[in-house]
Amino acid sequence: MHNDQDLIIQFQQGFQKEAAFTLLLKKHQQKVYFQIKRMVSEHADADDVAQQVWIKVWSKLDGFKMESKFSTWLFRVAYNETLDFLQKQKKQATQSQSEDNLDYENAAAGSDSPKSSQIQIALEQAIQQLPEKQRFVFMLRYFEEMNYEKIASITGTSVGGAKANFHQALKKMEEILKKD
Amino acid sequence: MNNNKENIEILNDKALVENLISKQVLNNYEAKQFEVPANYFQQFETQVLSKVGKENKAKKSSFFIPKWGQIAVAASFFTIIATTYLWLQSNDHEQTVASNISIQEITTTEIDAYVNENEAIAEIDWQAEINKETSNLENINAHLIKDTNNTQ
Repeated sequence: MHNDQDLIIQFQQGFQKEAAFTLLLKKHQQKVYFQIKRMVSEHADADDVAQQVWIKVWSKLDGFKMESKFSTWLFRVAYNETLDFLQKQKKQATQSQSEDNLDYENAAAGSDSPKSSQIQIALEQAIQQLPEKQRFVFMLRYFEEMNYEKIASITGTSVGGAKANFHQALKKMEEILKKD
Repeated sequence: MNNNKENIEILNDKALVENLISKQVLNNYEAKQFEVPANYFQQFETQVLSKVGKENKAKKSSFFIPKWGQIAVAASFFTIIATTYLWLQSNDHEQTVASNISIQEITTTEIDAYVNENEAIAEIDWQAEINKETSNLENINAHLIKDTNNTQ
């Protein structure tokens, strides 16, 4: 298995640039995609954002100074692209929000027992209602089991800030779930 | 040691979440996130590589004009604009000069050449006009002679 650092050096020296990039892509594409998918929910959106991320990686990798791990830098690029996408989507989607809620309910209607579906929908909605940064930190901490140092460097915040985001997310989810 | 502490912290945070939402619901949620169309990642790789290839070509072609080339293009544009401006200025000047020339300054040869080139003017019976003017002048002269004689 190729090491990220060697592949980056190969890329930066222009020696078989595309081959080095392809190996980095193969190695990390799934993690990047799932990180984005958790935030944007829809596959088509996650696909668009993920492509943007890798195009950005191609154009910025020459300037990567290896001061942090490649994966941290890559997740940060993905985080910024996802935030951009969500902000653009927020502007456009105010009108269709009620339709989306209806879609959630319809999608859940046909699966499992009614009670578990309801809980599932409630969780999805609670996660969707979290502010972007809190949602991101929650996902990375719970599902990726990432330490706060790494979360902080991805989201561009302090370790304390990341911890606070996680606990705020938890509190907010509790409030949303109790309301439902 | 540090890693152990970190792991315990992560487990504690996860336990806080699982107190609020059952682990099964969370697992179902996560499983849903992992649903992707068949062969998606192979296709994704091809799509990204083709996009990156196109972008790379576009980048290369845009950087193909060296800096001195860009300066030369800019200088050419400036020269064209300056020349056009000066030409328009001199044209205006010529027109102003032309409008200030009086008919007395035009030579007979030039008038003849102009008349020959313009049929409408050439059709006028110049001889008759000259005779008419001459007889007018003779009448005036006759009157003047008569008046002079009378006063004497």
